[in-house]
Amino acid sequence: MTRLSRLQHQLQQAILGGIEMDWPGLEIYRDAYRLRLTEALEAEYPMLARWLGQERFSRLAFDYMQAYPSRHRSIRWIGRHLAEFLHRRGESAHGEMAAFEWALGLAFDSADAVPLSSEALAAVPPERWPDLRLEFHASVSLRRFHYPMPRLWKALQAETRLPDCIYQREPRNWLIWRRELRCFFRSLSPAEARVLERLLDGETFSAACACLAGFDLPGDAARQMAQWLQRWLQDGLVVRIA
Amino acid sequence: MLRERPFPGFGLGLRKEHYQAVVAGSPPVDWFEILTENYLVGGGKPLYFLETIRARYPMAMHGVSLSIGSADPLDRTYLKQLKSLVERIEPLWVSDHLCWTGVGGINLHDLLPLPYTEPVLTHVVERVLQVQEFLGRRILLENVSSYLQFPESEMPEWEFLRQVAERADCLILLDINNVYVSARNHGFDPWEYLEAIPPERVWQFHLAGHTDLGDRVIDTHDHPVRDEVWQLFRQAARRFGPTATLLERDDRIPPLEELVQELDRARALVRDCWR
Repeated sequence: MTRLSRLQHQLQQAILGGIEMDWPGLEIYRDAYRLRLTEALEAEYPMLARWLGQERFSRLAFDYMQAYPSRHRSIRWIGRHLAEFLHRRGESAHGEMAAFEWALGLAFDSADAVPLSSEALAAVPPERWPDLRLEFHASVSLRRFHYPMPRLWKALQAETRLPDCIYQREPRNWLIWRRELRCFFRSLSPAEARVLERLLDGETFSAACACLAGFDLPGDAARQMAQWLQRWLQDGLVVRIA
Repeated sequence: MLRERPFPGFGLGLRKEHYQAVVAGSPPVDWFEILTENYLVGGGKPLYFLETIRARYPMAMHGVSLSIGSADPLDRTYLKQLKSLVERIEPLWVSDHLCWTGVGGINLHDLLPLPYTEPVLTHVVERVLQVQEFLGRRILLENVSSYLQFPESEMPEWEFLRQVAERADCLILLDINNVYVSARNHGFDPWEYLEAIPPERVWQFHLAGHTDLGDRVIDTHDHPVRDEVWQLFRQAARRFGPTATLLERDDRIPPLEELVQELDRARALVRDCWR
């Protein structure tokens, strides 16, 4: 290890809070580090911060930074492990809030792509359908919540009375995506969530349909798939067929 | 050979709080400086506004993560992202800081000072050469504000900065506020700093506000530029001649018109000497 490397490791440890050092001026860097990273986390998790309150959120941010110091060039990514961190601490409801806000953030600045038109899909000959794979917009993600997640988030945002935060054994499925510059989310039935999950994993249409066998659907599976697909196209979720 | 210094005029740091106002109002700003890392994303609003505003204004790219002085190897992934953004927006120039931001793969997201020694100088020069070779262009390096010093330093910061620029043939972004802040914190004469910097290498100035705690001065970028810094800016203007000047604000961001007015103050202050 070079002299420079040794010095930088030493100073970095002192800023991260790992070692005590009598180094005039050090406290400015240490305070600035805590403040900057707390602010950056708050920017990614504004409703979680509001829910916890300033003091609890700052403590959480500090504990999190100790466990996950940033390894990214952009400060935008520092919060990527926060949901997992909260779940491991047994704070599942907070973890779900973090997971929801992180998914919104991912949708916000994920790669642009032009949505596939209904006409383009209609032009596909019927014999090709079973082997068809759909490519989705990079913003599309699925999340499962046991707590009343987007509802709680919306109530915090509107600063209205919060719904009771009660754990439900059966999680609800949520779809999060961006259309042009706006982010959206909506709930999904268990069957639609399962199919979409398979398709997002790159499985073929027939393989995804096969997983519907265990579900009690209102009509036949083919018609149900056609309806879902139409909605996915309308919402701009699909960008390519392969 | 040094090309003649371009002078695009007086610019503002582009912040997301002003996207709509910039697009709707086409404010009288000569150019914008973007924070590179904010646009290393796939798409959505950041890149939409970046391209919309770029279509109307010249832009410079200003990074905070190059970590040119770190003992870690240069981050090739980051350099590739940087290069592809350069190709996308064709900036006036690309700048970062004469500092390190972390080591051992960690990023403290801060601009930390270096010990000013001969081996560190060689290390930095070598890396600037690599970066410039990779990007196919010269970069500007900015002096940072600092709050601590290393006993092993063998030369003052201005000497280190000058030598990096000359040996690596890179350019300088001279932050007038940072010179003032560090001068107060470490007790040197800011004019001595300015006098040591070769004018032909200074392609840009930064102006920003700081917080004066009496015994310490902190580079907070959350206030208008203070009188002491305006004064130093006028001195710098006389020494360096017409130099692209940029006003930064990163916290307590006021409405765009306020910053445009503050930028007008910069214009007015140097009108007589840059005529």
